[in-house]
Amino acid sequence: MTSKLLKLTIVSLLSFTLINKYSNKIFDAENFALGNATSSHFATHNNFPIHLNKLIVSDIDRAVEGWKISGKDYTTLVLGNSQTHSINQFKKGQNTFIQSLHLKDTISYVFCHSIQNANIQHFLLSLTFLKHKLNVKKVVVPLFFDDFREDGIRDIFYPSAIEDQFLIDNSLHPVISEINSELKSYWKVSNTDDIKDTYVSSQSKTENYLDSLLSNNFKLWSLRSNTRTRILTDLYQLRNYIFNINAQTIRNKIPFRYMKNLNALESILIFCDQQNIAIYLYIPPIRSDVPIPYDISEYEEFKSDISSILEGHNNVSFSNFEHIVPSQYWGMKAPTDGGPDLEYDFMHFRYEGHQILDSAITQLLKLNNAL
Amino acid sequence: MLFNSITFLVFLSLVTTLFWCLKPKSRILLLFTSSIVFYGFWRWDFVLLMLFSTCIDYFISLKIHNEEKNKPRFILLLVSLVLNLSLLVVFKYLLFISYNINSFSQLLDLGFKVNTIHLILPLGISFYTFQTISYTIDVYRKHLIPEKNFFKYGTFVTFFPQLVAGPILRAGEVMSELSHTRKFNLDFIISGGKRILTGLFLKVVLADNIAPIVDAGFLNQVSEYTAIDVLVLAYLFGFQIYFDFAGYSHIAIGCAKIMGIHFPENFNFPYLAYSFKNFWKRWHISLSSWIRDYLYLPILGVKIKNRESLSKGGLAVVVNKDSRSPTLALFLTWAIMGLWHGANWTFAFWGIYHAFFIFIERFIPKKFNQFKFINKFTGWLIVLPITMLSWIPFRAESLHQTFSMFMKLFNLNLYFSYSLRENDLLITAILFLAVIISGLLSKVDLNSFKYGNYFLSLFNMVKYVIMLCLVFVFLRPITQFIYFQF
Repeated sequence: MTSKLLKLTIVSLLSFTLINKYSNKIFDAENFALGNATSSHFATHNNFPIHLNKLIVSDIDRAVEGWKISGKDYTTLVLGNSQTHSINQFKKGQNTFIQSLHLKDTISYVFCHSIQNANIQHFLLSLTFLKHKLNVKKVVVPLFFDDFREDGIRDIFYPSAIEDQFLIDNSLHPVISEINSELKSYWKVSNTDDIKDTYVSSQSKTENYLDSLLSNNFKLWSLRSNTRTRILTDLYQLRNYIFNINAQTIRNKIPFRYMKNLNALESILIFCDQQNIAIYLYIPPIRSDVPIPYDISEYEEFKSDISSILEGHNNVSFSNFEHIVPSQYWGMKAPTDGGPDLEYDFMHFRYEGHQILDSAITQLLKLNNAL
Repeated sequence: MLFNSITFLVFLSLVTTLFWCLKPKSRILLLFTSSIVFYGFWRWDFVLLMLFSTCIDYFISLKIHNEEKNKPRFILLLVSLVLNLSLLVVFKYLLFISYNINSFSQLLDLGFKVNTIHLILPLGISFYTFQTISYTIDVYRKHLIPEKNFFKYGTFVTFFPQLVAGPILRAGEVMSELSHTRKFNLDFIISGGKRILTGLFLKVVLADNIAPIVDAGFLNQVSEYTAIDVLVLAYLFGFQIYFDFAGYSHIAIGCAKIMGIHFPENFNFPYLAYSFKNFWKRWHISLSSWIRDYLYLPILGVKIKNRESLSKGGLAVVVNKDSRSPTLALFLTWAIMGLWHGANWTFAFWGIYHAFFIFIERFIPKKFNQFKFINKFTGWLIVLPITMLSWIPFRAESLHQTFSMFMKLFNLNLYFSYSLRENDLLITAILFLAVIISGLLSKVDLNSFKYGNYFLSLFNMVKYVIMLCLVFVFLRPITQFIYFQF
């Protein structure tokens, strides 16, 4: 009996110590992905958001209010991933290209929605949703090869109360029914909270009460979400270490995800045709001083697939910006395998890179003519 | 109430404390009341339905026992079966039946349509219905003397650890356990606690983290998948449902154990099975043996003379001169077993799929058994992938999706690439190794080695520390157990 009690005490104490040690460091998953040298920036203008990441209802309302106050008839929507909202080696006073575009454009209201690790299905959902909120007449879409490897609808697309506003007309393209059913399946078990309302019953009420009681009185409990992320990130680093995966490891095309995103792009084109929205597509900058982490033939095929999908659609401009940002404006990022050596960052550049991209998109939108 | 929640852990602590504080006579009443509260946390209105089903068999069984003539006994049994099965049909199969009638009418252009009614499926109805039916049949077969104390009988049916997803208990196994007066022993708490912790680990750390990959995989268009993707998804869901359901069973057994009540095991490393018959002696053991004793053998026409002939599991063929075709009985039993899992043709297909391979297995000559190890290893190599692939109809939304996925396996060109993420393949490989190694390790008797007991103690301590930490971090009622829907 004594030995069993002793073992029980040892197991409990060791577990407590381990959790305590593991939970003590606040871990920011988003900044971990970007690395220490890169940070996120979402521009505002006159205290109204002009660049959103998460689609929180109050932020959307503020953005719409900002557009209405501006007095501009329509919006130019810029979509993007973390390249759009990140600056490497940020210095005070700098901002992403979104703010300068917003200030430059005297006719339309430039507004951006960017999501880290976005995919083209996200762009489609953003566009169809924001079209009606902000009267979008122009849309700028970067086409990252990396984004064509991503799949799944992120939880930002199901904020409660307005989630059904994200549903798209099924007749637009066969891929829409897939996206819609994915949205619907996520609404059933909303992923935004720690406690999901599996049963809207005594269970969820009690569970919420007990969870908040524990969170308020027990620090380790309140840090669980952070600890979970840390555990999963450590596993990710361990995988990278074992398999020697780093930023330069070749990322192959994932066929069904690639096709799904290509279909989503086609849906965007059809939607823009139907709604008379001018669409500006570009291949985004990528650093060229070291070999890119793609299979070159797949990357070339990707660019040619894009070109062929554009045929037959109106109001489309397509540019290739892959070499416009010189190597000195690209940064390094924290190692993805937990080791000591920094890695090349192929996605994010410095403020100077944003200035260059700003000029390129200005040309693309022919804003100079509008000035 | 969900096992994977703080609410349940608080509830269990309260019930356990009260259980051991109360006098033995009052414990049954406590267990019955707490089981009603446990069920009521889901929906109070459905508590009445469960009590109705419980009462039917309580009174009918007493009547059967007091009746000496065969005919009235049989009529009473029929009344019980009709009432119980009617409840099951109405709540579980009505929509499925009406949908099929309408499809059939449309196909033949008969011009009629029946109304479809969506009813909420009462939690655990398939489990408590089977339990009450077997109770009445056992009384009818004179294998059991019915319980006069309603609360004890009611606790047998509604006992919260097994109420919503089993193990399916036999009155003969549990009634004596409930009656037994026992004194508090710390061993009950420690060994029960270990089982609960293991169950929670399997559910909240493993099953819940595999679920998003499987869900996304089955949502995608099959047309883009390769054969490798189909295999990966089948294995991943195979692991998910195993961790989910075995996790539930561990928690159920553990909860009973901390109150000194013994439940039979429901799983025994099923993915180490070397034959299909062996698989069903390792997977959901309580259902397999229930189906055999109350469905397969009656369909086969085998008369059970006494209690001892009831199986502990498995679906071995028993043939006598009065029996009907074992093949027909096999396929019919498995189709019903499939449909018991869910009102969809995919489940019926799943059942028939298993019946087919059990049928094939019957033709393997007995002489092969002399090469035991090679035989078992070869058997495992064949049985595992076939079993894993059987999860495709179990998880798929429709037969169309099932067949589309199966068709991929017949195209040899689709075995050289994959569309899923590399991570999904890696996770599948790791889980595969973990399941196999843990199964093999369970057979090693470390105590027979020098310092083996020290090593075992150390290993167990490390195991429980890791499980406790991970359960603490991952415990969230984000999904219900898969078997809750049955």
